[in-house]
Amino acid sequence: METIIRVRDLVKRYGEELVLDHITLEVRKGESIGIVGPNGAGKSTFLRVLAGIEPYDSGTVEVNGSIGYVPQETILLPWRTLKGNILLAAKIRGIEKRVAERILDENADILAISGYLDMYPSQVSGGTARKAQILMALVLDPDILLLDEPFTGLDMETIESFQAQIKMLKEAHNLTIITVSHMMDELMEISDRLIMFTHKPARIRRILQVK
Amino acid sequence: MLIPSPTSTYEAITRIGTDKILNAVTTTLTNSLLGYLLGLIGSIALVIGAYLNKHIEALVNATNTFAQSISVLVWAIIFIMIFGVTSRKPPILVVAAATFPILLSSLIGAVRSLDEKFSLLAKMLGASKLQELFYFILPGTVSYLAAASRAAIGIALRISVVAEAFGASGGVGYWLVYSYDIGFKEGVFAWASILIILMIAVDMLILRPIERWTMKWRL
Repeated sequence: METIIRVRDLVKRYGEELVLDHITLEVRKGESIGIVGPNGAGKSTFLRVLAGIEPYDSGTVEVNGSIGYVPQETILLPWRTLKGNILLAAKIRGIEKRVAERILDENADILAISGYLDMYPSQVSGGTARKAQILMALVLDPDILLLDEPFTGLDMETIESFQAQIKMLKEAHNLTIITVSHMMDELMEISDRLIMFTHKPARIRRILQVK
Repeated sequence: MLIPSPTSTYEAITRIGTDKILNAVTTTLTNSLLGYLLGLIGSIALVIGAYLNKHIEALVNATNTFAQSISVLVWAIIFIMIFGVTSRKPPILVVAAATFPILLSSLIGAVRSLDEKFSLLAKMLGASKLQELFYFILPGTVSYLAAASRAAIGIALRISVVAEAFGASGGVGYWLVYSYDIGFKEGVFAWASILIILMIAVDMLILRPIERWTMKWRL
């Protein structure tokens, strides 16, 4: 299978502090990867480096596809409805409104938030806002979806349905998904492979083939 | 009696007459609103410039410090010297000078805070600096601006009256000082009461609802 992400000897420091210590990883197209590790290990930093929004010090990061990044903290504009937020993302990227609306409708059904799209972020639950953030990334029609701690703060029942929805999204769009979490059991359900990070500075401790 | 009773103040209001009161209130409101709008346009323009250019940012910070350090009394005298006592311009410009630093300080703080909050979103979406400004930052300042405007318009009304008192272009301030000059003390209290009612009405009926409405937009 085609390699979509190739990371070699990636090193990232914050000042003097070493955060990512020679990470080497290959991700195949259509694969679902879970990255698990202790809090503050550098998992989110790794994801931001992959997303191209965080610089790194040495090594190489090759990404052969477009990326949709969903941060840990939901960032939606409070003066726009969920739909307004999502369509604005498409507008900024120069995606035609008609195309964006089609992608939005398809994926809103999968994520079961169609009924909330005309509401403002302050009117919906944290879980719904997070799904809107995922839609904001999906409307850009990415090949790779990066999810940073998507299950934080959700109850078990919501996590289970959310996991099922993420799997449906992956199948519907043949997405490559990388999900970061500090809880291994959250990732087992949706991952083909689990990458375990050590404490900071993060190194790959173990790779576990799940499926 | 030095201080007139509420009854004699009320009688003075009825004696002044609705037409004259409406005329003076309209003049004061117009002066305040025009001055506020000038201050608002100036502060927004400077903040946009500062956001897009680091050199302008330094200039804006210096302008803000300068504007805050000058008393409105000084502005009133300077503008009356330049435009004359009968001109409509001094009250408007004095209000602009008084509201400008309030609005500018609030906008500078809001832009800094919003820039921090939305820079990740801008990076995620690949937004240009201009897109970040017009889609994220400026709409985000509305709630901060509404709160600052409530304070600024309150000050605008008070300052406008002071500036009108110096000139001869009409308005509540002009008639208040005129009543004092002719020894009509009930008139002084009548015009002062009209000003208080005007300020409370503007605050309760317009400014407070706008502030409350925009608060839900704040992060």
